[in-house]
Amino acid sequence: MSDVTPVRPVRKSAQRVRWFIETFNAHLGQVEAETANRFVLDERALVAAFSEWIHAFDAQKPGRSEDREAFVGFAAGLMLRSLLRHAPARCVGGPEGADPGRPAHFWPEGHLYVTFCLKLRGLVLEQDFHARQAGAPAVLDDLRAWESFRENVAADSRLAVAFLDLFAGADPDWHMPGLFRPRPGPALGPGKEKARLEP
Amino acid sequence: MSRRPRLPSLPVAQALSMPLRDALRGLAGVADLTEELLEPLRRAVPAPVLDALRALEGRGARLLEAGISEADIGAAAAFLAGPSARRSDAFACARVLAFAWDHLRRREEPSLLLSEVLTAARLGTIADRTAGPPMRAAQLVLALRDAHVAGRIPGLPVTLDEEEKAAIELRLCGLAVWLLAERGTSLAEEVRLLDLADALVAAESARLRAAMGDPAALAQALREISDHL
Repeated sequence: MSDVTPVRPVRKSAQRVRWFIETFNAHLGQVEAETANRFVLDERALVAAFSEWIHAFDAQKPGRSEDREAFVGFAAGLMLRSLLRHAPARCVGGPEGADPGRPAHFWPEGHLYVTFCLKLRGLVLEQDFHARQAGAPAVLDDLRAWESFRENVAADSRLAVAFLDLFAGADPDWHMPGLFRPRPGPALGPGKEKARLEP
Repeated sequence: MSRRPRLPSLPVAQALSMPLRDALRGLAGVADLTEELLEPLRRAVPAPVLDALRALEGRGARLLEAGISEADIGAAAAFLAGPSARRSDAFACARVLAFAWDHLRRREEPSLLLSEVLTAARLGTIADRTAGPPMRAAQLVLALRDAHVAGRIPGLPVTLDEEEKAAIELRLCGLAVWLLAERGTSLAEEVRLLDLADALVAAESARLRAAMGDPAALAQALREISDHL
């Protein structure tokens, strides 16, 4: 994604559909190369996801500057929610003998969206707050987590916000995941992650 | 045997006047529509007839596509952004709008044509020279809609159902959003932005349709959407 890092801040660029589409396409190409999955992309559905996201983003954007860092993770979660709702990508093939125990092959589209949102989240945190996203937590490779993610967001897409926090190694809000409530707090430990994964 | 001398290429599109380009649009549109109507009878229609229709449609489209530059698009955006009393600016803007319409109509609603002549005539009457770009864009959309510059038979408010009227309004909004937005750096990027503007207004259709009766609300919606293009 670094090759499409724009001159203006990522948080600003991400609010423009031209950058969003280009960046998503670049990410999709990268995921295809890494996983050998093949996708077809409905660009109008991707634009619809962007449009829904930007409204949700504007509706909950915090006024206080001290809340902005916390809002980055929330906004990335809202993006995941919109991508899941509009489902712009469809996997049309994968490598022979793909291991369905790997998240990228268990749910290619979900994996594509999650990794995209995590990248954007990390880019904004790094650029604006000089904060490094926690290194990929073990849960990101945990098939049980992905099974729970897939099942839960199918029933309630708002849970995408909480699951993205989980995959980012942050503290998810499982009770009101669609509502921004700035909360200081460390990332969950492995034990807690496990407990909260059981709906 | 002597070789035939090569003739200099004629910049056809540049030489075409507005009415002629409109005629070409009509020709391409009729060919397209005829092919669509003949679709159920495809097996019964002789292949040469279908080939001729496709050739007409394709040739018309290619001729119309030629001759637009980034500078033309920039000039059209400038016409929208600020007051201009020159008729030539209105004509230039109409040409870009017609180019953009022709590009978009190939994907959806190919039977809805936009008349460059009627558009140019209507653009010249947008009199509010004190309005900012979003309000001028809103005025443009409403003026072009009310003048019926687009339709199956541009200039006449006939034979359009509600769905087609809505499609015309949204497409005009897409053109306005495109011209209001930050310019691309190449013609290819401009065309890409046009496609994205069209997709973006489709995603915002409920808001835009609700604003069509209120120029101020429409101006605000167009500005906000173009900011996100």
